[in-house]
Amino acid sequence: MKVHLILNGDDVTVTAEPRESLFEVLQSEAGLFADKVCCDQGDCGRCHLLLDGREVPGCLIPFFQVREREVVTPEGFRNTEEYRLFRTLLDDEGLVPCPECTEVQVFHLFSFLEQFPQADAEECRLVIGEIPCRCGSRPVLERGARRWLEARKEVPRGRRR
Amino acid sequence: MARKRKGTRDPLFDPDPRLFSPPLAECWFGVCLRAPVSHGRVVGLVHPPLPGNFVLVGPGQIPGNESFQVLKVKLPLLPEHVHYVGEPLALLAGPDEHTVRAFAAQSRFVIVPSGPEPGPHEQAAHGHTRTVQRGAVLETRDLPADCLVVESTTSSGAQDHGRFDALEVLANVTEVAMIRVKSQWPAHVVQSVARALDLDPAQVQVMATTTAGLTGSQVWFPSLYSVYAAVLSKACAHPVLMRLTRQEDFHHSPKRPECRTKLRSVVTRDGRILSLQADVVVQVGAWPVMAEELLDRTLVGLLTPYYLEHFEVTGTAQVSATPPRGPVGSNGEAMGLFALENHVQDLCRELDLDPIKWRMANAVAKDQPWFTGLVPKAENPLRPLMAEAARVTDFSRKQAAFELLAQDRSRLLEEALPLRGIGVASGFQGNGFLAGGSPVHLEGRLEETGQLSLYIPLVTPNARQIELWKQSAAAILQLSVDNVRICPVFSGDHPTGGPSFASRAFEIIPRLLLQTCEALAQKRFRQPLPLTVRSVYRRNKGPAWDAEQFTGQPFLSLTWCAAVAEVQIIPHRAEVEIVRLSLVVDAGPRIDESAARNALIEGVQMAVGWTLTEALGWDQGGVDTGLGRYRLPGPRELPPIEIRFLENANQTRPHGLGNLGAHAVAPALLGAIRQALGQASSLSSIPVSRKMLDEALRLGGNAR
Repeated sequence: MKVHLILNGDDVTVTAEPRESLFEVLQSEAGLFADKVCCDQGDCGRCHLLLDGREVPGCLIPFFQVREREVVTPEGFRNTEEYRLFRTLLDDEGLVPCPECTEVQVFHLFSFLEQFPQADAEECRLVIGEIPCRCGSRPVLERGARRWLEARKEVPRGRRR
Repeated sequence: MARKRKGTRDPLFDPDPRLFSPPLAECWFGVCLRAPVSHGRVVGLVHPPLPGNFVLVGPGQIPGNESFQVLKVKLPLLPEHVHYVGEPLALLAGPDEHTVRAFAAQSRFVIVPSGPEPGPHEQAAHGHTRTVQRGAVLETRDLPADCLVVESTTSSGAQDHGRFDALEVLANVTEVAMIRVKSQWPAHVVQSVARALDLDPAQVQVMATTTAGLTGSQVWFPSLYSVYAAVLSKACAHPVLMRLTRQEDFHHSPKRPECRTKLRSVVTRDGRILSLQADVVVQVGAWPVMAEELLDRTLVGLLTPYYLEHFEVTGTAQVSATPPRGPVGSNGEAMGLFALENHVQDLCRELDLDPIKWRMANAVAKDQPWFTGLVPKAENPLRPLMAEAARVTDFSRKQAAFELLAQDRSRLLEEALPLRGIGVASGFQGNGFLAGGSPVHLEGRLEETGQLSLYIPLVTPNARQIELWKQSAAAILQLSVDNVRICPVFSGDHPTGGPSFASRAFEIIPRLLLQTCEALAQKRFRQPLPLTVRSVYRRNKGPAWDAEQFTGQPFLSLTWCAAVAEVQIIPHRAEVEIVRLSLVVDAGPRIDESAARNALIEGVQMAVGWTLTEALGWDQGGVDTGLGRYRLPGPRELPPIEIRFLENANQTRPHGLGNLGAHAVAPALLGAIRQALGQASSLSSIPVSRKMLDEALRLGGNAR
């Protein structure tokens, strides 16, 4: 089955079996989500992506459902200016990168902050906890999220990127 | 230019990319066909017609040695007799992953039961018992006047490594074997693959994947799957990619062993322990892989913190028809410390003593012999740590206040108000267990171009740690970090890693690195470049560790901490909420404060999961919990974690601290829960389930 979609800003046509999940197809056909193993149950967050701007678990989305839709993966997000700014802020806070979750956490947290710019610290804490990981980076991510929100509040409306 | 010398390779940093990363299109995919039952003899495999180009490898088809060796223990590779559910009995490879997995799903082994199903935990693993005794243990009939006996039984459960990036191996076997794997123990991968393929170890090269530093202490498990992938690659003459799904990894990777400890101490009225008896049973699964070390470390965990004049401890590693366990989150000290600290809590309750003051009074002092017979040369940092923990958490006042509140427990329960409790525990991390063996060499070479190459053994593939080493070297020699190159050396003549691999990397390498760089800095303007300096670490002069007698020095150094946990139990939800978690640590100077805090928090989270959320059991030889129901602690369980570092003038070198949180927090947390519940000994096993809490609350009332 051939499906046309916008993947990380590019028009692409991907051929795959309809039974396959979006995560499987993007991993095997597009080489995205490199080295990531997913729980296939929508719990672990390793396969999260933006589908028409909404964050969804790629393992639960059938491949054929993305026809003519826009998909942004963490790899695509990594090339944006927002990512660079957010990541710099987290590094300033002392983020020790976790090879397992940092990229996913940053993607997940940033999507949330973009969607809910009025979020409070507790909401950020809960959102960060949605990506299970053994690493100790949560406090840094929480501090980073707070700083990001504070910085955004200081920017007059209409001047946000 | 890379130097060539015998026994030296540079596989982590200078691999042949073509061999390690063949195009995915050229790779075949490998899977294991596993035992569906826990015991019996394999008589056949029923499967759909095998596609012509598929390769199936079964018992007796390993080209080299048919056993997989971990230290002294040998496991059969693809055996004819089943030992546990999920044991790989055959291997399959084909060009397409979906088809290979579908074929594996439709294949069934025919297994004839061989005798009755072995009961769980019924026999001691051969040779894996320890009995250590000092002095004469006091029997009840010999009790001195004014002494009493305190007894406790604690048990701790299994725990998964909890990493989400499941194991993945890429093997490419031609005349040589190239393995790309996530392993903490690359030298063991080399040995295991060479043994199974009947190759010279020099013909095997290993490259670590990006997440190699984080294998959750699986230690030997990646080596086993490297062997499987290599065997398949040789059989099909293609590179073979073998990747476990997260579910497979969860069901078949080694878990932290369950441990049950009975403790009996004879104490004076002022709390001094006259004698301690302990009976420790550690479950190791079907094969006692690393059981000796796990057992020894558990006993060391029991005996280390406090002064014990007389003691008798017995440890047994028991086998059962379940998957082999491994060191997860700790190599055993956590289990021993958990039992001991829980016992201390009973003791303090029994004698109505302040647990902080008891710990300060009974920590091994400078002039008191340790359990090994050696007398510590420096003051034990546990006393200042405990004092600081009491100060920052207001422990004594809170403990008294919660005791007062507990007197009105019936009313609190009736009105569904939270029950509150606070607990404290001491913890330590031993760095470089069983340190010894061959000397460790580190060589530094400074070129005319300003390039510094450091030839380092025992290199961890942890990128962060390597970066720290580079930064330290660059700072001493005033070079740019880009001019420092770390070159791992796998010479095979030093200890090949294993459980103390990480702590050796913290303890030995920084010392050698410092020595080498300082020597280079002194010589660089006096002697012509290039300059080469070699530093050697030899075992310290103290008596060597004797695991049979429990004498000598088991560790290169110890890192200490005090943990305080404050909880509230919500009665109508039968739920524990952690209000506060504090850790006071004495680990010497920190090379990187963020990394140190990150490592400690990681350990604390591990301990919270072990105590509260991560329940795991065995049913008919297999893991009884689905991955979806196995829950790592989330934001609901984790409060902000407060970490304080104690500055200690005696500690001039940085020490390992990654396991401290995992060691000390679990007993502190259980202590807090027990105070909240108000029952001296009803709750003594972890993880604390909602059912256990519910029962304890129903029995609760005003019972003390």
